[in-house]
Parts: sequence; structure tokens; C-alpha cells
Amino acid sequence: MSETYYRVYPSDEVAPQMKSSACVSTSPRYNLDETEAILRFTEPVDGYITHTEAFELVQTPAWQEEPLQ
Amino acid sequence: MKISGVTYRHPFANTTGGTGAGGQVLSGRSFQFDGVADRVACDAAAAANTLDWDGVKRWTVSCWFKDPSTAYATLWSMCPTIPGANRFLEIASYYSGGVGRIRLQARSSSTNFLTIAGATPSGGAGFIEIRSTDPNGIDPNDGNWHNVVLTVNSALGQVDGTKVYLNGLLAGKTTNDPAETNTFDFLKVGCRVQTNNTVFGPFFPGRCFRLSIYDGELSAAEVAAIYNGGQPVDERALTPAPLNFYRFGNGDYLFPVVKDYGTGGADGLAVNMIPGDIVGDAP
Repeated sequence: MSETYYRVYPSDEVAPQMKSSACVSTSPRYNLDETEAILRFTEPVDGYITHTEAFELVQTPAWQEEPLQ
Repeated sequence: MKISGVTYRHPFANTTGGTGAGGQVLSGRSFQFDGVADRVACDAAAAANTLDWDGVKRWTVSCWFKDPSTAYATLWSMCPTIPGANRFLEIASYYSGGVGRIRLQARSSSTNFLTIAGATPSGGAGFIEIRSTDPNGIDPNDGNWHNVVLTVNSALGQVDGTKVYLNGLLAGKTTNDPAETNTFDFLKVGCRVQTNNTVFGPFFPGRCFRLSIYDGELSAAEVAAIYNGGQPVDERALTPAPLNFYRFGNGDYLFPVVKDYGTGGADGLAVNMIPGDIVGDAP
């Protein structure tokens, strides 16, 4: 996988950030209460997190229901 | 993909390794999913009604995958156009207690299930679970490519109507519920989909080489022919041939379109992904 970068934004900032040419996300993933979304970029953005950090984040209860419900 | 009015050509388009008839690349590559939001939407294949659980249809789905994680990850899934939660069918990989597992979940609602309790080797209403320690079980994150095949005879109450094969061998089976049905309209590779195509996750952090859909319940011998000892074949040459045949980077020159090389003509779409997610790795 190519090196890409992730950043969490408040929901009201998601649409403008998606207009960036470096933004890969076309269907952003939101947390469960839909207050934040995580976007993926081809270039570093201020406050970015790595793929490993992003993957760990989306495993948390704020982002994912217990899959074995 | 169009860039300034020019059709984007994938950087692997001119390579020649592993080519088949017409110069189309058959092998050598796969899609790397990020486990965050990547997925491939093959909704047209589901909307064609081949994959319904309606008491009549018989069908098969085969998927080649490599999973480096121990987290619960959905390889592929389907849901109907009904807003209620937990109406989905999925094949997932995960670890619990240090033991690798492959799980089929087949639900018609939060409290109703498409299969009954009593699955072999283990499971319950709505699911089959195959542990790495079970006969024909696999260790999903052992670094190897694996093939998982689900065959369905959706007849109500059908004994052993639902079977899971791992690496060409029957590993799990169960009996259908006598009353429950589900009409699937959305199919995703790389995550669970539910609630009328509005809720996604858990996502898959591994690689997918192929997904093929057959209009019929394949026999054990036919499933073994797909696996072919771990050496994938051009499934279009098998009898029966797949209705839908996705090759995830092997010939997908118009990324993010994921071409259907079967007869179904139901192209998929890579979502939140880039051409760099096509990697040089395959069984």
C-alpha cells in the first residue's frame, strides 16, 4: 500500500477538506455518533496520523460497534 | 478515472507478466485494503438477484485473501434495501483467545437468523465458526494466501444448506432456518455493510486477490477445482464458470473501476482507494 496519511476532522469540516486534491476519501468513515470523520490523504497534512494509528483508532468503541453482537 | 478530461491508465497497464488471452493480466497482483475505510462496492452483482436467500436460489461465493491482523475483519458482506440494522451476511476473519477463526454470519434481523443452531464444527443460530484447531481450519494471519468459499442452497429448512470451504476443503456447515429469508441488494468487499447500505464496518486490513460469484451451489469437487492446491486458475475456464469474476488489479486498467470479468457485466468500484493500493502480491 502506498504511504498515505490520515486525519480526523469534526463533521462540519469534512466536506471542505474533501475538496483537497490530496484527499483520497470519497465516502468518509464517521465515528458512531457522527461527530467526526477520518479522511485519507496522499500527502502529509497538519496533525496527520499514520495508517497504524488510524487503524488502531477505528478499532475503538467510539468508531466501531462490537462486531460479534 | 478522468483527470482533466484524460482517461487515467493504471501504471501496471503495460506490464506483461501473467497475461492471458487478449493481454489481460490474470495474476500477480491484489488489492491492499487499509482496514480504515477502504472497500470495493460490487452492488450491481447483488442487485442482479443471484445471491438472494429466498428459499429457491442456490449460489456460491469464492474469495482469496491474506490477513495480517488478528482483529475482527469482514472479508465480504451483503445487505438488503431495508433500513433495519443487523440484516447482513458476511464472511469474517478474526482471533480470539489466540486462536484464529473464520466466521459466517447470516442474519435476517437483530433477533432472527438465516440458519439455525447446531452448526458444525461450532456456531449458533445465524453463524458458523471454524477455528484453526478444527478439522480443515486455517490460521488466517499465518502469512499465506487463503481461499474461503461459501455455498448456499437457500431452500427453507435445508439440512446442510449452508457450507463453508477453506482452502478447497469442507470446514463448516449448518441447516437453514425454516422460515427466514433475505434479499440482498448490496455487496461489499473489505467491510460489513448493513442498514440499507448506510452503515459500514468492521473493515478488512489485508489483501484480496479474487472474488467470484457462481449461479449455483458448487459441489465439493468444484470448490476444490477453484482452490487447485493453492494455485489459482482462470475460473472462466471451469465448469460452471463464474457469473461475476473480480480480479482486484489484475487487468483493472480503469481504476477505480473493478472490472467484472465474468459474464455478469457487473463492474465494481473501489471506494476511498488509490492505484497505489494495487500491490504485487498474489497466491
